[in-house]
Amino acid sequence: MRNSAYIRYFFFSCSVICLAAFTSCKHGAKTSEVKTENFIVRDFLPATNWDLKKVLNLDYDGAMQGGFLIPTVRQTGDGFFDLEFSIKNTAAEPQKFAYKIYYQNESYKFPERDASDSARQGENAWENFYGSWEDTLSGFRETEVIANDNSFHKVTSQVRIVGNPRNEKLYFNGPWNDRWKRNPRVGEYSFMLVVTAPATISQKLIPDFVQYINQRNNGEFVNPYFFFLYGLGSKLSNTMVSVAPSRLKVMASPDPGAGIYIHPVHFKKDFADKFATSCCGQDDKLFQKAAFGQFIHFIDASTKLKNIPVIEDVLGDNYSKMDYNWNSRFYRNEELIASTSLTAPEPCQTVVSDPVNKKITMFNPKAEFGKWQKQNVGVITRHPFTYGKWTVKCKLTELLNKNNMWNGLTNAVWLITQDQAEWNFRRECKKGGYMANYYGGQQDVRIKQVGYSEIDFEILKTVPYCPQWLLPPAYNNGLEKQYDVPAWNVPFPEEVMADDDKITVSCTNWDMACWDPSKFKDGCQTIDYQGQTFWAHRWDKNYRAITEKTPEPDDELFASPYYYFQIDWRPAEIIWRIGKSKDKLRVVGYVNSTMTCIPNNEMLLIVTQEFHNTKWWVGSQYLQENIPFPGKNITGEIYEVTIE
Amino acid sequence: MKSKGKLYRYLFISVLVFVILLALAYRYVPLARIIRVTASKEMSFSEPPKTGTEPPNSIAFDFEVAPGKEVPAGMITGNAHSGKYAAKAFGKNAFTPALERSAGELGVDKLKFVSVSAWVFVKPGPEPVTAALVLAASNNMGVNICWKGIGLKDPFVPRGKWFKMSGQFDLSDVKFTKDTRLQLYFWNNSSTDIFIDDYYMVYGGPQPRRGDTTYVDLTKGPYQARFNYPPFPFRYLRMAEIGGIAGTSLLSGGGVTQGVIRPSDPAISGMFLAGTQGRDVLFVMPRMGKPMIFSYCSEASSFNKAEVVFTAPAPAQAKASASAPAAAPAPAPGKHYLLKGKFISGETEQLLFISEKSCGLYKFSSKGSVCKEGNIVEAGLLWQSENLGSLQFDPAKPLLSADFDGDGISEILSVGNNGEWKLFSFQAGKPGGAWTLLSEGKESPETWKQNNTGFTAAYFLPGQAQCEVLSVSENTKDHKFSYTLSMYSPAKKSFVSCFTGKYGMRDGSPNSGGSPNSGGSPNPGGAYGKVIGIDTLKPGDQFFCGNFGPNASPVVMRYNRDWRYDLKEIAFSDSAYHILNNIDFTGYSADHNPKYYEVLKLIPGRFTGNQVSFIVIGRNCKNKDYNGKECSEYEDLPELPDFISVYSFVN
Repeated sequence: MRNSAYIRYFFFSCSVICLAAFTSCKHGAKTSEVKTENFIVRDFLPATNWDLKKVLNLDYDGAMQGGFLIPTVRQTGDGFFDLEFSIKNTAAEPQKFAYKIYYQNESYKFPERDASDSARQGENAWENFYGSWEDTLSGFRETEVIANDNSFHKVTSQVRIVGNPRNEKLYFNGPWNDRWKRNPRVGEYSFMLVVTAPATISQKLIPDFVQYINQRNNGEFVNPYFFFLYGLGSKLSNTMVSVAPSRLKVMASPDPGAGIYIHPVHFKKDFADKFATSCCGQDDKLFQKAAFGQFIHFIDASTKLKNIPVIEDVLGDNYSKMDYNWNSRFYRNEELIASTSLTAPEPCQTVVSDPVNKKITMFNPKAEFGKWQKQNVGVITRHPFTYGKWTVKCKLTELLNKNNMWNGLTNAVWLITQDQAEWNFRRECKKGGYMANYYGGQQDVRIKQVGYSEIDFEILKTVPYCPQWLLPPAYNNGLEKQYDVPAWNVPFPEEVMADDDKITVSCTNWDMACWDPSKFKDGCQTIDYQGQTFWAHRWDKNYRAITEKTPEPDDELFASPYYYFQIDWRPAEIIWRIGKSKDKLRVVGYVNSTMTCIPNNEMLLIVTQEFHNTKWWVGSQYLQENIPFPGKNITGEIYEVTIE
Repeated sequence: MKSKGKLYRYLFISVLVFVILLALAYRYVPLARIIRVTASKEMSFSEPPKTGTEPPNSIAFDFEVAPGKEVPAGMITGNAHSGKYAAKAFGKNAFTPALERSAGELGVDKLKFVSVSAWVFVKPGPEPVTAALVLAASNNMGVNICWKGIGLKDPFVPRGKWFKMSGQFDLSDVKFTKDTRLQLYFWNNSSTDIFIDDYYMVYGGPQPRRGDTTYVDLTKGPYQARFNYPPFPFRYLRMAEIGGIAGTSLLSGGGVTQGVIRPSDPAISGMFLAGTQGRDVLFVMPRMGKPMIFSYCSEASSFNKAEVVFTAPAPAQAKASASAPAAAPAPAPGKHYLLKGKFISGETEQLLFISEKSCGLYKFSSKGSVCKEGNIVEAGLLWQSENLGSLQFDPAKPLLSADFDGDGISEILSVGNNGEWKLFSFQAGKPGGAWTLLSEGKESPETWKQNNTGFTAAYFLPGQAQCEVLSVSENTKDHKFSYTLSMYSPAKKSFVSCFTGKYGMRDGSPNSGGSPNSGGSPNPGGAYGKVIGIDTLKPGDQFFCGNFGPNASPVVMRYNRDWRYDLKEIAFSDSAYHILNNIDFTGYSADHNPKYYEVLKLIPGRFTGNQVSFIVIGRNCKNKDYNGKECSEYEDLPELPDFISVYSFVN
């Protein structure tokens, strides 16, 4: 009997130990004891109802209007993280304690401290995504009276991460807090617990602008992480600051199969409804559920081209350089078709969301005689983020055929500003300001802040810009002389032919020509990253973008079943990666804030197959106007998008 | 005395300073920007073929020194990008030999844009590179009027390996005269050692397209077709899968060399043989070789060749031979003119064979099956004249063969210089036969009277039992083009216009219309067709009429190569022609589109069935001055190999 009791005890003890170990693992390591004069705190767990080893996938339900909530009721039951810590009152009297929980996105943040003066807050640390309880009028909360009984007392609370955590009026629309205008960032979040004696609060030793994160100090927000970890808060007596060792990992996976929303800006509802399908349209359900919208390009009328009147399936019909050379020279002006690239005249016709296979299929529609078209196609995400590692798994169209002849398309995976309104302005450009307009010329005005931002993968057939002593190649344009084949069928220069089977992966950051970066430069410059050297190019000091180009085999990127494209947009750098598998991506572009102004506003992801005017791509061997209209639909598919 | 010494001293110091300044200037001031460099011209030592001008508007120069010529200073061996020699530019203010031409040599109008490239090798070393590939233009005085450079400047200039430099210069603001000298050279303005090789200069820039207004502007509204204005839809002739056709031979297997037909070989298709299930065969009179007939054999899906044996009796040969048929010499090589027609009643057509010296009418008969290997076809002479001067019709003038009167028998129409015409029919007799004059006339359409007129007789209009005559002429004064379409009226024994309305009267009576191209002058003998749109017919055009459609439906095609391959499907109405389609090719191997060939011969015929198809022969001419007319020697280009194929419409 006694033995069996021992055995029972033994198993019970083991179970408790295992459970404790498991619980500890699951919700993160508990903090060890931190002592102050009057209390000891330990066992801070920021999310006892969430397994911190798991990645929290953002819940898109309701996020369109309310912004993302972390967590939602579908993730933790009550839609909050339950936090707890234990406190022992070591004072002479029972007393209450004041505490506050802060969180901060750690993956995409600026250093809290100034690099040159660690006592000062980092210049852009206020931009970091940090928050606390949603009610910014709620400062430090008080515990119940904790007896000085030499034992730990558990204190519990709740917190969730929401957009616009500082409740800044900038992001309000009238009375509505449009939290989506400053959505929570993806990546890792830390949680910081601050416990203090109520007197610290009443004596205002913790300033209001730290207690109430919506408040500013001399017009500037103060990052509480800086204040408590490095600033005056770190020196407060009777104040305990504990950062939970375990972090919350957050990612977004917009579902390509959740439908495609048609924005009323592009198509009025009555018209859109005529073409609506169960997975594409403008109804309320899709407004709420769809993670993607049909992207309608802005077409600059000045990009009108006079195209040869040829309709050909370049990818499938054996089209060759000889065909190109002939068609370039042996059509008269009268026979050409003047047109810009086009956008879809009707919604939902060229983009299809497949809920079963969770993919989006899109295509550039074929042309027909009388209906010549080079129609762009694309989709855009609908939930903006600032920063993140944006990865797209897709099979976009091949760009070159077996003769390495280009079909005229540019495959693009890119980020674009969510809105150019004031609430989405980039940080101030101090040296002269930004060029005001994306489409403005050299004489465009400069302004302190703009809302435009863009980070691109643009993949097309063109040539490198750098080094500058190789641009443009010495092309021989030949003659229109039917009776002398070598006169019109002139080969490209050897260095162009050396990359004949390659397309150019162009990585561009539109910094709107802000001169703030210390190494801002026109022309070519190099930058090293992880043992690789990248050539960056900017046409002139008023040119709004900096570009790096890498030749890559077309077959590898677009003939395989799928390929990954990743834009790793970080506060002080952008890294472009591509690869066959997500865990083996390679870097094809790199810029940092010493050479270009990295955007800090909210952006959306766009995936497109678009026809560019090759005048935008100086030195290109093929001119868009000399490439046939597509003879068949040109299809691309998007299988997966993650933002981490 | 003292002041004189002082003066000398000053003078000496001044001269010394001047010399030093001059030396420094020579060393450090980029005088080359101001005055022409005195570099040796490359032609003086180079290999002549290496400074050719291929591709067009370009000069390549690889610094190779021709055997026996002195190697000029500034050249090295042992480290060249191509060949044996390269130029060197060692040290500060060093120049390579210049590639130099006058603007007159290159063409003053071709210098708006000039592209250049060169290969460069920088010797390893710590000194920073400052150099440029320079294009300079200087006037008669040797003063530069233009100096442009592609800069080569550290950091990042590669060391110890060859790399390319290139660039394009906009020279549109430079005023060139034919004496302006252009120089391409490399200028090293640093203490590094640099090798240069393989200069390349392209002048001319992109040529503006021909033509003027682009009619279709989709930015202004949807496309609205305009009658006869481009663009036109495309219709495709697809290459037929016919067994064994390989390269230049119609024959399969071992007949590769035997079945070669060259574009210059006179060839004509026709229903010359009985027993071919109504199919045409191809008669070829090689310029060097024996006459051949190619027949399509449906069982083998391939062509078979038969040698043509000319037999007696013939007027000239009958005397020398017995009455029984015997082999006769084939028509001698030389220029031949072939006309076909059903000149006598029966199933088959006959061949009117006109050479430089004689003229004969032949009928063919196959000794065995046309598909039998080694088969022989006999060409029986129906009529012959050894004296062209005695002929009733003049072979030197336009001759047309067709069924003009709709009786099912072909006639010969002969048109004289002044537009006078004669219509002949063949009367069979034993032996031989004779041509008899059916009718003649002096009244004819104006186009028939022009020196530069092209005639075609065919079924241009649908539903007609008789052939029409299309004549296209160029007015020798204003070089404008006009055309008429006429039909023979057996009742009136005259040709009447097929066009009605303003520009013509069908009954042939004088009309008030005029050529739309010639200001409306009357055209009493016919009526001009309207020219609508920007394309007109030309005297040199070839016209193909027949049941080319997939269901043997009738099609009219116009083939023009004045500037480019231009085959169009057209249709004639009662007043004009209507351009229906551009005709292109498809189904060819690789990218060897027949239209790219410098010489492209199209021979229509019902070779494989009721549908008319083309035997298409493509060649390129070795002579670079080839103008589309006479090519003395062909060149088998790797990118466009010689070929023969059969093409037909599939839709």
